[in-house]
Amino acid sequence: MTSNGWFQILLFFGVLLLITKPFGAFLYRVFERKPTFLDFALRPIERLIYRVCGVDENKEMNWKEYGVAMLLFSGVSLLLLYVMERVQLWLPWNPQKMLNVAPDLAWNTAVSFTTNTNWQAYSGEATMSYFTQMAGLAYHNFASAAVGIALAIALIRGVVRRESKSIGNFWVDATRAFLWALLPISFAAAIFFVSQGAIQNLRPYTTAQVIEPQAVETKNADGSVKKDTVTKQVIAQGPVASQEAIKMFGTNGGGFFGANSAHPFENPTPATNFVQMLLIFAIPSALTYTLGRMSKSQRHGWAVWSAMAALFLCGVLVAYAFEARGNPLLAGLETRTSATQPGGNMEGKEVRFGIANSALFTTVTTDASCGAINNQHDSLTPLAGMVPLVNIMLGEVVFGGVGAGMYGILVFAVLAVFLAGLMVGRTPEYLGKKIESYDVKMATLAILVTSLTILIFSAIASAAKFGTSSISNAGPHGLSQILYAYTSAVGNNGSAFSGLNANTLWYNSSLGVAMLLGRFFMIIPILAIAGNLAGKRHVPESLGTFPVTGPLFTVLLISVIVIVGALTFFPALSLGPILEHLLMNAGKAF
Amino acid sequence: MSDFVFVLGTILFFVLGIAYLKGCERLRSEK
Repeated sequence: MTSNGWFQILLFFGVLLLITKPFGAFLYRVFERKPTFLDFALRPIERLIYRVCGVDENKEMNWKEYGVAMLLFSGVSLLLLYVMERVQLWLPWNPQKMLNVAPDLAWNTAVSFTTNTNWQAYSGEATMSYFTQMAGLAYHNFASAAVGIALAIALIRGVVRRESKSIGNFWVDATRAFLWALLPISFAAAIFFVSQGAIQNLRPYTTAQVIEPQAVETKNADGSVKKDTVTKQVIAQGPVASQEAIKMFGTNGGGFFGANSAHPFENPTPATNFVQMLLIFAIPSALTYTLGRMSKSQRHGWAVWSAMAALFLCGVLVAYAFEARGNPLLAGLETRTSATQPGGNMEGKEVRFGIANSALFTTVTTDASCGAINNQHDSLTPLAGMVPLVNIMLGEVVFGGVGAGMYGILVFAVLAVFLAGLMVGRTPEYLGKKIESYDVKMATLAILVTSLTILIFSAIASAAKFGTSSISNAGPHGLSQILYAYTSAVGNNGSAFSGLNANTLWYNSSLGVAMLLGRFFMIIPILAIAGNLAGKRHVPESLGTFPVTGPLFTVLLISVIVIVGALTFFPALSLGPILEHLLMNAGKAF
Repeated sequence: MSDFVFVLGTILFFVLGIAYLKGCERLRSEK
């Protein structure tokens, strides 16, 4: 580890802290429908959308109506994207004549982008037309993020409203999230990325003559070796910058190119790298401030933020430490940091970003449900590779996805005050609402659905030939590849240990089901909690009330998150990355 | 054939989602 590396990590953390309050206050004004400086331009557009879609912006919904609207919107959007991929050859803006996407891959991708996962079993530049990238994938980047924010706001309303049957209007919340939060900042970010060298065009791919022809050998299907000389290089083009902005800001993570944010057209400079990481955390971090404002307990918002920040810093520390240490099996080689060597584990990394910014990016993208990568997670040292895995297993509540992080951590907050209530023998309360058995049942259901889906699918894939035939490494690393795939899918993250060949019928189908369960079967119990809490009376604070505004609550919240995650997934982790680490230290690598 | 399976599967999932929602609601009335 270097002081320069830590300076960059702490600079990122400091800037994140600085933007949390102003942006959180802005989101509060947007969703409480108070005047903002963008109203003059956006209110007319908002009214027009409601008029065209027949939405009554003053009509509120109960939690079931909210949930059904969310399901219908997502289901119809999913099918539209599926159809678009299946017929892209006949649609416009396809200069490379990309073929129609195969049914299983098209479905997996449609589910993936609808659920804000952006798992990609394909390389964008070799599979998707410009039309599909823009009208299909980028549209879903906006839509799925807007749905996530709407749901988080609905849950916060549920917590803070008193004896109310409604938790807001899904269409209004999603539209306002899209117009006020996502669109303006994505537009500005896209312009910034272009200024740094990201491309934005609709041109056919460029063919360049290479300066030095390369001799390559490829294996034919019959095992014979074919020798060839490469004299030309195809350089992919496309509307990258516009997709890049919402890819990060909406914590979607689906790259225009297969190499994602390691590609110089997607992430050209250290400055874009810094801004991309900041975009990932901007909304999730700001929503903690919004929570404080809406609940009229700003200290509670900061207590939640502190829990997230502590877990984030732990993750960065572990990832950075193990990557900087490198692989001990390479002890005979020069792996120490020097003026000419980055040191540590540079496999799978961009030299433009180095170890500190790779470790930071890895932690940020998996703390949130983003899943963009600027280095190959499959090449991380075992325990550094466990960091993204654990981040997703904890429910991506360390800032988390846009909206998803907030509603995820509020589930843990409900469990935390419930456990605190059990310890002191009182009915637990959360922000003036009694937490009763139904709330705890729904919180438990939300957690169980995701954990069970990860573990059951991973177990099947690890035991069956159709699962193990896709792994590229033997031993515990192979198990980690499978475990990571299902964890990423259920957690709606989308990053991968990309040594796994996921473009098979089994993985496309099972990961698709995992993504759907991880998104919607978690959201519905959370909406049920929102509806139930909204209808309750406010209970005044008393001496027996467990305070949710100070360090004690922060520590309890962190403990609940870690204990639930550790107990659920420790056996699987011990057979994967932990075993791999021990074997590596004993001299065996995979 | 594959298109039919995936489209039907998607529709069935979202119908199941609405049933799941109703199940959560029923649990509430049984509290």
